[in-house]
Amino acid sequence: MTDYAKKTDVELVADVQGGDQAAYRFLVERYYRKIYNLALRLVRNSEDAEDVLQETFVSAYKALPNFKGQSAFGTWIYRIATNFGLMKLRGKKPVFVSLDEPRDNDMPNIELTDFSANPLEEVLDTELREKMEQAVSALPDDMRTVFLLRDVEGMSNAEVAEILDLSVPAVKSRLHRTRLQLREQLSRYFMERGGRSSQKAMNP
Amino acid sequence: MNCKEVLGKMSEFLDAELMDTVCDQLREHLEKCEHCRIEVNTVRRTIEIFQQMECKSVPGHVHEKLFKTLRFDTIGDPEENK
Repeated sequence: MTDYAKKTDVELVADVQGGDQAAYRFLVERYYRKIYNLALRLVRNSEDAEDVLQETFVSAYKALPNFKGQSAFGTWIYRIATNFGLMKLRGKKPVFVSLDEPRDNDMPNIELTDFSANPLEEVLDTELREKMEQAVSALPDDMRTVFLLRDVEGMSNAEVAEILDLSVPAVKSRLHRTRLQLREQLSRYFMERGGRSSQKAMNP
Repeated sequence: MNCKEVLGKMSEFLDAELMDTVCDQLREHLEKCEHCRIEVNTVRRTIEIFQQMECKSVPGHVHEKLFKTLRFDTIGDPEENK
């Protein structure tokens, strides 16, 4: 019996291309959870995320015979999913604002709270997690896409550039502006949270 | 390196994508500029926080539908389901 679980993506792809259909199941099992999470945060509703998940793995299966392995299977499947996700978004909202050019209001001169001192495990609670989801969800589509692939999924700038047909400098620039925007939201959140806890300390 | 340059380069700095000499200049600036230190530290923390975003589990019915569409229950050809 073949131990598919121990095989690399490259080996599983070769198995599928050689006619072994069962190998595809293991590729799907390896990626479907990640793809679902990406889709959910990209399209922001579970119904569309479900569609993206289905479309991704059905169309990947159809395209797999022609997959040449120039990019990693992971990059390739993320690319397919991202494209389906963006298609869903564009279908809903015809104007796709590109934010590649820095705008004047990109870097508001706000007073920053230094929220970097507390240990990560102390601050990461349900309330913050909710805030994080809201902050990502509120990003413009192009910034959200880059950020999800790069910082949440942990892909490289080059991989994100390949997935989105952007140059590496364009990815870096979008990523930088997105990080600043999210940082400002976190800063405001931690300032408010600090205010709440000191108020609680005064009026327990 | 001045504050404006530091702010422009801090993402690349945090991603370890700057040349060593530029990195050294940036670090040198950070040592004497508290404002930029807070800028860099809070962006670093922002990245760390968002890297902890949860990978939610896929609802049972979604998983089931996907595997049914792909005919994984029978390990057949997904195309047959079309």
